[in-house]
Amino acid sequence: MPRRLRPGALVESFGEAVLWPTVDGLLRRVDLTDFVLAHVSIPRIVEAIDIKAVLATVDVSGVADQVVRDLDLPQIIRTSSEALSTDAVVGLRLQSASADDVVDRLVGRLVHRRHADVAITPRPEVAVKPGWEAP
Amino acid sequence: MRALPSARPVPVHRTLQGRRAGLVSRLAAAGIDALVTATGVAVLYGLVAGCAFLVNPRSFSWPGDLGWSVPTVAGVVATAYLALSWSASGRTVGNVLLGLRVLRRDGRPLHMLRALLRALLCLAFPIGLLWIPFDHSRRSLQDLLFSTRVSYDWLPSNRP
Repeated sequence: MPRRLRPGALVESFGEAVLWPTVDGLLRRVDLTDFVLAHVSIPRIVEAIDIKAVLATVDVSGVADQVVRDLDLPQIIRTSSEALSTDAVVGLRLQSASADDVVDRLVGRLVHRRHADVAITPRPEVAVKPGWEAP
Repeated sequence: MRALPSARPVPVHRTLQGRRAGLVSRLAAAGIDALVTATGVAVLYGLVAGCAFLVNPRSFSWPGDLGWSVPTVAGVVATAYLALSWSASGRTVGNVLLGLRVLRRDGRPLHMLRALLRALLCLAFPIGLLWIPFDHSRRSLQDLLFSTRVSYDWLPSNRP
């Protein structure tokens, strides 16, 4: 008997040529979500599930440990606190540098100094762009 | 005609590097260094009291009248702290926080003797800092006497 006429090959050919295209076409026409919502009672299914029994089969603490290990929380905390402290310190330095200039200008006016060797710091809001790198 | 893209402004923290620091920054750094020294002295006295307690717990009592010992010890601690910091890295804790560095006028680091003398003069005559805004190069009296300068310097690329 030729191979293509064997029962298994015939069923397989039938499935590929007729059955699956038909099922696929039907599923495209039917909105399965609407169908399930209309005909299936989800609360009844939820009630029927024994959540405790399901949870008993899961190693919750092991999963939590794995999540914490994968997240590397200490590194996240370190990075965020470093970024915070770096921003605070750079802000302090820029503010004090601006205050230096203010004092220089005040004293310069008092003693009628025309100009100084020390260039005046540009205003941070003009010169600093968002996203400039921290040291 | 297509307009040329405008040049990105140099961030202000880069333009500051190497420039002489002014009065406010240096006073703030000095204040932080005073706090560090006070903490060091307190820890030192605590250690001494702890040792005295361990040696003879029954007759131990907190020292009452410390007299001149506190300013003397504080002076010694502050001198050693400032001189060692300036000669080692040019920066005390206050300098690190405010992003300052103490160098010789030619940009070289301070040697121990110059750092020690500068520290002594800073402690004996702190009011010398007030000369900074009057000097065209923001030098204190200590800077004028020991040929030093204090600059903004907190980016790694700016370090000598």
